[in-house]
Amino acid sequence: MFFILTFLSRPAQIGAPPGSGASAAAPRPDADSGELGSADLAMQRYADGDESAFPLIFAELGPRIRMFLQRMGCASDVAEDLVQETFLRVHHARGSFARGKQVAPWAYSIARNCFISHTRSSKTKMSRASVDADQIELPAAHGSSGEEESIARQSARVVSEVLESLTPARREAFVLLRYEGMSVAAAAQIVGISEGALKIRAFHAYEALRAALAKMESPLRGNQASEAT
Amino acid sequence: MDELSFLKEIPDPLAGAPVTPAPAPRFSAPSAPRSQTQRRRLAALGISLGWLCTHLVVFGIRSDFARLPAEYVAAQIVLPALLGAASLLLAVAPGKLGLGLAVSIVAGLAVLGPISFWLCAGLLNTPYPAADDLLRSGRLWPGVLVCLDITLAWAAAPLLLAALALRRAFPAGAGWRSGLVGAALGLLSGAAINLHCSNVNQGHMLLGHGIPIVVAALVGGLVVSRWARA
Repeated sequence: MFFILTFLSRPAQIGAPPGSGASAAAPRPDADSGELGSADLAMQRYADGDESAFPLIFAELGPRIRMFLQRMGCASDVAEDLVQETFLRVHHARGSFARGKQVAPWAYSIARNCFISHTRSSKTKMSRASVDADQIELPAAHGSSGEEESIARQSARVVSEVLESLTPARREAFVLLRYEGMSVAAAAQIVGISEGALKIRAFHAYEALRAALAKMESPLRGNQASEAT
Repeated sequence: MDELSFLKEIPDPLAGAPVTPAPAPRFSAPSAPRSQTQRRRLAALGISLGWLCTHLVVFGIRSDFARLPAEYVAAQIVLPALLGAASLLLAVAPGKLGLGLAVSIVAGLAVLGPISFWLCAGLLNTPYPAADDLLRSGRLWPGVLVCLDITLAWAAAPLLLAALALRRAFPAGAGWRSGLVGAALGLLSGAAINLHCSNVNQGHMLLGHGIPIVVAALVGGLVVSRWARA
């Protein structure tokens, strides 16, 4: 209980961890600081009518939004289509982009709208299996033993499965905070709920993931202990 | 760094996943830049205010305006007009992150605006005794319907203009923000009809002048939001 209260008490930001795929491609300005990065400045120019700024925005945000959509449960090809749809909407909505603001929360909101429209479509069949964990070059694989690599792959698979089983609301709260490097304030704005509600959703997701990982690790620890004795 | 750092305990299943760069899409249809969008919104605002003022001039200011107490004018005309203008500004305010104000604030304003109008209409004393009991004499409903129609018509054109001018304006919380725009336009229309209609009967004001504000808020939230969502 104390843990939840502490968790709810202050605003916070989870930075993207090093080596988290495309999300670590460029340093991101803090969403709460108002500091503008190159994509933000490019978006200012694009909103003012400078068409040449668009490729820069796409190069920086496209991979991030694609990863976000994949983490939300889209298959790779669907995520690619939704990225195109997102940037089409960005193009049409550029006149509404507020002066002096960061582009990432705005673009993520539009991507989220595209995702929701996609999932609501009656023709849509959500197909997960976005990435095969065996095909990923995991950070743990570098300079580590085969056993560590195997554990890392198993962890990735468990996380992937649990994320899939979560409600979309909890999944998006967790994904935005943990993987997309959004501040609590920005994530809450994107989702359209209060910061407290967002933290609770993320915390429930974290608990489910933590429990699944602990369950996976306990037999492994047992084996290691028996080998040691 | 923060108390949420424990979330990093959970590994990223997509860490190290290959990212194939996709070519930037090309758009055949042009889109309006910021300056054009702002001009369009200002034009919509100007036409909407012109629409209300023109109708007020044509229909005329209420005949008893000169003998109304100042507090009655403040509560029934000035307050809804100010609330409507403030709501409109807050609905389109960019907020700290460029996504608008927090949804809780926007939702609260969208609900409290119409409620405040109803409270003023229902709880404030009438400035002078009504001519007779309209409900008992059966003359309440015709008057209510007339004012309901007029107020709805006065709010309809600004709502249509808002749908056009705020196209793709709200990436987050579009329903509540559009609802607040609707409530704001309803309040402005409510203030205008209070400036025109001299019927001080509370039932008449609650139903004939108050219901259109709720309808405008609902139209904003359910219909205009379809255009306003980015």
